[in-house]
Amino acid sequence: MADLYVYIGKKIRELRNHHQGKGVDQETVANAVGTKANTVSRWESATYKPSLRDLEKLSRYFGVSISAFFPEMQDSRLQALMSATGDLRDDEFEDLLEYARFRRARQILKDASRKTSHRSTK
Amino acid sequence: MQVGKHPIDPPNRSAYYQQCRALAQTKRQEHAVVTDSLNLLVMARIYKREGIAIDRRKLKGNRIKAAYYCDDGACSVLLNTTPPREPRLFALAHELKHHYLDREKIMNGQIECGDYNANEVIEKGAEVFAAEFIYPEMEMRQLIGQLGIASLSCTARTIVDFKRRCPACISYTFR
Repeated sequence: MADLYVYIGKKIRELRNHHQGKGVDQETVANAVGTKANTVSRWESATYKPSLRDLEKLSRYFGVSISAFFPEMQDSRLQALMSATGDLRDDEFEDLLEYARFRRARQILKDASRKTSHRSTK
Repeated sequence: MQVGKHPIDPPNRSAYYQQCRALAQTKRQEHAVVTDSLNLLVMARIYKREGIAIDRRKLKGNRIKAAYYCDDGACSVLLNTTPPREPRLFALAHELKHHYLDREKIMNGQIECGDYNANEVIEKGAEVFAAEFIYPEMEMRQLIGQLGIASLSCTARTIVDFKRRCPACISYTFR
């Protein structure tokens, strides 16, 4: 599952290099998400593993869905029931979908850490 | 919401709502819920015991109060932090009903997210559950009796008295 963090790291670098058409440095990203430039650098090289919260902050900063950090994450059927009044607008439905992606991302990271710890206990 | 096959036929509505009420009473007992101390903190503890994660988000507007998600064995509720505390508490109680009664239907695809009307009975059942969970009808009737309120003698003054004496977190309903 180390591949997952390599993919995430590459994605962070790619998004950073193309942000708003001209790219931004690691320090700018770090300030935006409340960390240090060193940490962003280590996320990009897959030395450090960004948490789900980190990825959520990054996705907000870059203006992409959290699913951008996960290969082959597909939008599955929205298995949810909600307390809502009336039919939903598109932006409200998008909120629900983005949360579904967040849940999926959480599951993928949980599985990844489980596999890592399983491997380390062998 | 879209429903592949409507799981509850309209003639059974009344029985279904009674089932939701009875379930709320059972769950109140199980979690030792006391009306005047039921708040968001207590509800969060109940969710923890039930193994449901609460993810709080500031959503666009107030129309979505909460949403219950369940797949791959993981259950969670998206809670909109925009509404005040009391509607949030009600929304969390509402979503608990989905966890108890609708989880399997959601997981096997019988119910899908979409507009409210298609899942009307399920949603109203959740409202009945939430109301009973937060403030049981029997407790409300007792208070009404103590205040001497009758259907023909209910005035604005008695409603204010009732609101002041009401131990449940439902003041937002008195508008």
